[in-house]
Amino acid sequence: MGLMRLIGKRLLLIPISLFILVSLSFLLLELMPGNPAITIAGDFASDAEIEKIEESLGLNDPLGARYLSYLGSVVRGDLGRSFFSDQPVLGELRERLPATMELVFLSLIVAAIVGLFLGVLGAYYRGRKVDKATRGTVTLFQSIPDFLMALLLIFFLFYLWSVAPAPVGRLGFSGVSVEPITGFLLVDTLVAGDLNAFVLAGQHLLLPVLALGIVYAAYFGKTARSTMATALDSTQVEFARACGLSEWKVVYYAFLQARTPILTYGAILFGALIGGAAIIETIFSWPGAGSWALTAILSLDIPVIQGFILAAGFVTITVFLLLDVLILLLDPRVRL
Amino acid sequence: MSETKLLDVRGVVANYDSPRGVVKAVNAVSFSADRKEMVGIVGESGCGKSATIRALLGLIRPPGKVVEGEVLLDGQDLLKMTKKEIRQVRGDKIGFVAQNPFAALNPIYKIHKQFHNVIRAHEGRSSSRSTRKRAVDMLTAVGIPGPERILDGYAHELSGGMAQRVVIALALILDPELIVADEPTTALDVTIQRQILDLLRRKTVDEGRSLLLVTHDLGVVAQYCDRVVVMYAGKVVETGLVSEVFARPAHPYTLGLLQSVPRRGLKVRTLGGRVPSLIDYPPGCAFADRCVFAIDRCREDIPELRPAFPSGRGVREVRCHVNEQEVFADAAVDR
Ligand SMILES: Nc1ncnc2c1ncn2[C@@H]1O[C@H](COP(=O)(O)OP(=O)(O)OP(=O)(O)O)[C@@H](O)[C@H]1O
Ligand code: SF4
Ligand SMILES: [Mg+2]
Repeated sequence: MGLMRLIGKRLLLIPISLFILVSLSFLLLELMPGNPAITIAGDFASDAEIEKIEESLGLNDPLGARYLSYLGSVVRGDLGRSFFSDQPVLGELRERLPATMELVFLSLIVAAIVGLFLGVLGAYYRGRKVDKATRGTVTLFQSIPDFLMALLLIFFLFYLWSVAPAPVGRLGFSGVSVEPITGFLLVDTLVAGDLNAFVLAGQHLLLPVLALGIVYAAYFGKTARSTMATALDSTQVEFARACGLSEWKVVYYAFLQARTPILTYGAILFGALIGGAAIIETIFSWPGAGSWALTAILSLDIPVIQGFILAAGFVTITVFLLLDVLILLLDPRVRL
Repeated sequence: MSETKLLDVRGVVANYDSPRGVVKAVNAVSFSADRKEMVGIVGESGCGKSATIRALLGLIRPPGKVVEGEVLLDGQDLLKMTKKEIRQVRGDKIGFVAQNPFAALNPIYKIHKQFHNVIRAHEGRSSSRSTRKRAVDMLTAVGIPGPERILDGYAHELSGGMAQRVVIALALILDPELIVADEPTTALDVTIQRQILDLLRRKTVDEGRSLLLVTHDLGVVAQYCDRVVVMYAGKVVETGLVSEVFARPAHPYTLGLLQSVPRRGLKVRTLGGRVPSLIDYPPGCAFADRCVFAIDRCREDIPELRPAFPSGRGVREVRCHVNEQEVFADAAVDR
């Protein structure tokens, strides 16, 4: 009962958040410097040509009118077409967003496993050699930029040791094609029963996932270390020990306390990584949403930028909703 | 009665490494507790009461370390045990009752699961049904009505008194010989305090256990304990039967504690000053700066524990250079 009401409340917030999101994405681009018409036409275009393009893009209409027409089309599911490729933004998002999400999701899992391992170990052996070693590792991971990590991984795992395939997209030049259902290749290949393609997709995910996973493991490691250190110091943990529970059980009791902030951090990272994976996507020719948006920003491709902002915002809002529900489900104290 | 005491703590030293130096939290502490005996440990905040309790449960964690001493339980030295052995002792031979039950109980697990985990930690695989039956019996024994319902609920659904009863039931589920309670009633209402202490007394005296009761409350010690251990700055400064110590305090610090609560037959005097830093233990008596009886020797010589009031009942010891008669004589002037 109480749980459903709480979830209901969170759901009600979604349309409001979305409205704010749409308005922000509109305004943000209004404030952006530069004239897309000039960008499209090129530096050597005549004034008349530019004016024509401005006219066709509706750039000369008053702000209010443009806002309303933008709002209207978003509600109808029309996110416009790219200024340059003329492709519908929505269709492109459908292909690219899952590619990014698959990458980000797996990276976060790797980051969480590696980071939790380091953080919990450090918290448990606080102030001792193990702690210094794990903290050093975390600092190292954090200080390596993700693109450098990617290049290092490519150099060793692809170039030197040939463990991983060439960094070119989700399936390389294999010519394998997969019927898109969810857009997640690991899922779609399994659904199609194509084990070859599944392995191929996995191999191509390996390096970018590792690159992002290792770099972001640092963030999980830091949060895990500090929350676990607090939890391991708590009366609850001392009481569990005083009852004679094994150290594994005791650490697990501490983890039950520490998991909420760690999960929250994971959700924040998820939102941040949807755009934050852009450089990794570019390095690995990954047909994802981040690199697509990055290109759009550089060329002032407004509909694409807006579409990306909406999509990333929508995903973030959804992830936080799921997080809220998860936290409610995990903690019996909030249920009444 | 028995020749060996149930618990015999001998010369335990426990230090914490801190950035400012070594904190001597437990400084050669010795005391004992017999079966059916309730021993109170009193002293101001920060004088090492909890650290002492932790030391004997093997719960001093880095940066702390027990560096010396023996903790004999039934003649077995707990400090010499392996991690695994001491873990088996905790819960099974020593039950621990924490100060704040809501902080001690697991908020995520149902109460039954917590009993189940404790039993399983000591007895290996046990069926959920058998652990449940034992938990129901134990909850009934600590005076919880409707134990079945409690077992299927969570800690936050309980009142403070009920939660502390659950903690006591968890501490007693494996029938330990010794109960250690670190300020078990400080977090509770006054009316509940008495019920919990009565319960602890029943469980100790009627069932032949032994209880260590850490408290700030001298009234509680006077009413419930048989013997008292007074700690100051990591050391035991006075021990003896409660009736003797309260009637004739031998140590100026004990006297100060007693006088800070208005009592018949004693001057009221507030205890000025603060507990000194446990990092630089002074070359003499740690109480010297606050002591109205201090003499020159107090600042040069660390006093040793020695017998006091030899004519009184029970073993009486005090750590002070000044004769106990003098201390008591001054205290009782108002009578
Ligand atoms: N983890 C730790 N690191 C450093 N010093 C510590 C640590 N735990 C305890 N101490 C120090 O040990 C000394 C004794 O602390 P302890 O908790 O035993 O006091 P206490 O008598 O139980 O006080 P209270 O009545 O407030 O519970 C204190 O000076 C405290 O600062
Ligand atoms: S030894 Fe001296 S300073 Fe310490 S308590 Fe006794 S009289 Fe006071
Ligand atoms: Mg304490």
